[in-house]
Amino acid sequence: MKKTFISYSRILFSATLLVFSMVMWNCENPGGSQKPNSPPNTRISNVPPDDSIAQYIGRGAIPEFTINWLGDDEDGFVIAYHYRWTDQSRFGTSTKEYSTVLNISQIAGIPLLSPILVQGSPRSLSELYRFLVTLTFGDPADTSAIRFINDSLGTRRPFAVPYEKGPIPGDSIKGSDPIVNQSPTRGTFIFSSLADSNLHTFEVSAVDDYDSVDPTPAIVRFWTLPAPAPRAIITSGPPNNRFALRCITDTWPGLAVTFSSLDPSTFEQEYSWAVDDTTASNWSPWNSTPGAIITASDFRSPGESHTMHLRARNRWGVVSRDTTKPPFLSIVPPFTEPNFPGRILIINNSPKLLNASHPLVPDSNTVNAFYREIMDSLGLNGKYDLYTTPYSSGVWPDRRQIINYSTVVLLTEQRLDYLGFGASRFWVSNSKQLILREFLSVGGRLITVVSPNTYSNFFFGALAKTQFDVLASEIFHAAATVENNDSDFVGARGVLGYPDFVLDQNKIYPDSLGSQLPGIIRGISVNFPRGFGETISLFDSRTNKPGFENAPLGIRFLAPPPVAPGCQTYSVVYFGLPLFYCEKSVAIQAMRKAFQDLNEL
Amino acid sequence: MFRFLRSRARFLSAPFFLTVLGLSCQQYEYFSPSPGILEIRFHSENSRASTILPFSNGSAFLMKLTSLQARQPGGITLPVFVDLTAVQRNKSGDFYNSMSVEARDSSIVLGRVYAPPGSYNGVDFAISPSGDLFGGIGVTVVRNGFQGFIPVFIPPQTEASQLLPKTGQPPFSIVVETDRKTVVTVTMNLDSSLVRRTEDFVYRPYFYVSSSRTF
Repeated sequence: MKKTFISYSRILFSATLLVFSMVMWNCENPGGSQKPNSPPNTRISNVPPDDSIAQYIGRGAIPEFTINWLGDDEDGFVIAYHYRWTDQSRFGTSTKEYSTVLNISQIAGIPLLSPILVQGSPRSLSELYRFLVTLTFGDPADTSAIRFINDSLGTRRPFAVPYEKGPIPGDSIKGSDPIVNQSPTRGTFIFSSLADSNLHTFEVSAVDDYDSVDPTPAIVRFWTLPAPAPRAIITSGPPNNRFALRCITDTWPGLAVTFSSLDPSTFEQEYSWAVDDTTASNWSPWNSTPGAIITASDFRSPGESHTMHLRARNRWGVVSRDTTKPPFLSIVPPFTEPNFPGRILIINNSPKLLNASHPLVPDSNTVNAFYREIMDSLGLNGKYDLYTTPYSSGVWPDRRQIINYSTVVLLTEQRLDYLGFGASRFWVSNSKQLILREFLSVGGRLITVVSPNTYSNFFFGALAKTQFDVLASEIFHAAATVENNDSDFVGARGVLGYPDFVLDQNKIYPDSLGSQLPGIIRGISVNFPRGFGETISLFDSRTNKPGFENAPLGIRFLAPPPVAPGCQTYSVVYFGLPLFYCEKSVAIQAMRKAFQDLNEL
Repeated sequence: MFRFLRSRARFLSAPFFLTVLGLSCQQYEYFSPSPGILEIRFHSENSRASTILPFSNGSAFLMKLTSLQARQPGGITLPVFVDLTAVQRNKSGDFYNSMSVEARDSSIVLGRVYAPPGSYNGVDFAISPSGDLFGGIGVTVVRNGFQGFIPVFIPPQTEASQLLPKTGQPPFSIVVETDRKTVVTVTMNLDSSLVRRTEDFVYRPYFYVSSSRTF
């Protein structure tokens, strides 16, 4: 029995010693060194494996592929992947920068909205990885970090990683585009396919938890044909036959153009445009806005005729052919040139008598002579032109003629809204107003001398007053005009440097036709200025009539100083009375002051 | 004997503890200074008074003030109400005419408060242009005896809050002294605040503390 016990003990001891020796022999090598880290292995797990052209065409010839990859590490685990690709064609070879995507799909149990891309070159990818995967919700600081990271990834902003010791410069992550990086091991990429045939080489390498990168990246090569190009369309504009400034102002919004495109496979387009010159440097930056605002600073040819060019680019980077429209005409006002000497156009739009002058309606020659004398006495001889609306028609200078002047003086000289037999009068029609408005919108200047019963001399018919009020408000800056139909106007008191408007008694004499009293004009309005309109004269009423005596009559509206040279907005001086019936010295002073206000003197 | 002492212990212990408590207390000299008065006034600065923006009692550019505070170093704030007896500001705001003669002459009082003596280095307030009776925001001007209206455009991102001094403005120190009145003047620069465009003004508020005087 004792012997048996001893033998069992020996057997047990021997067996224990044997097992211990085997364990020690297998698991430890006290005399050797630590086994080195094995690099990870990477493989691409799907198409396009060495794709053929036929397969490519079968997918619709779209140069966009989804590639899956996978990595494993025999002595650890994969923490990230580096990937890049090279495009080769007859246009040359281009290689993308490496992208690094972390092999993380959730943080603290919260699924990520998109995989994490690492920016720059972090000191240690594994340190970055460990920081992110060990974040927990228990620690308030970690919770805060998780929130910030998720916020950052949601909005795809770069985010400096807040390690416990503070952010490490250069360690920055951002959320990837989930359309491109669907997971850490799957991505859909666009491969440049501008040539007839294009070879692409995609390579991906896994990174293990010791920052070791697979030295033999997984590689796939495949071919693509040219990607389908979009077609660019100029849907509207630029408007033809318009004035154009070199900058957008409060009153000139620029020339608007709208775009669209046709593309067989995608609606994600960008546009680039140029005017006249299609050299590379002249094209605008690519922008997804389907439209543009053009100014004269975009013009590259000196004339009035310009050509709009448009290109579209789809999401595969394929650029359309250059689209153009028939040339558009655009006139840059000469007065926006810094050295423009200043030119004045006087439009005598007074009513016309066929043969002779009349006390109520002076003939054109008389009015023209009156203004020639004024202009010459102001030293403006040679700087102005006189245009008289012909007796037989109401033709005005057209917009192309008017734009050659910096100031237009519009005259309607008559003493009473009366026309005898054989007389003609031409209203300021809508088309004439449009010309004036467009002239003003690009910084033109206007002086207006008007007759009594102004609105009926500007417009025809029952809506004359209504129409005139719009014009008076928008252009002359009169919030309200009130006509005094009594024989009451004996002159006006000047304000802001304008003279007192003393009537010429040789021209104001009684007559049977207008029931006029001596020295008086009937039908002059008072005009209450609006906005930046300023009163330049006050009504002098013979009877001190309430509402008229010392009420505003003339208005000036001066543009603010320009933000940039040549970008001035318009100015207007509205006398509100017929200057012809004032003493000539008064008319000269008044016009001098008006031209000074408009920087013509 | 012991029973006697035990029965008297309650009565003896009370004076004993009171005596100990009395001896352990000390009288300290507490200094609590009387407050001063801090008064904040409003001033309009305007170089265009002789042209497009004349000061007059008929001219108006209404501003609505909804809060006003003085700030001490360290961030402690002191609300400033309309007068010394008020306990809060008008909830719908207080209205001031920045184009009035009083605004030009710095005689509009935005608020008064009893203030702890010391130094104050900031004035914070919320102010914004107010519409007229018809809801339009603009400047009413009287020229040649007649009123006119110039609209004011307020960019969408414009904030009512004004924390003075703003970045770029020099720092200031407002000293409040016991039983004295300190008058601080907040100036609205209308040249900068109302930027002329062709048909309207653009509101770009510019305020600064222009003076602080102790009387």
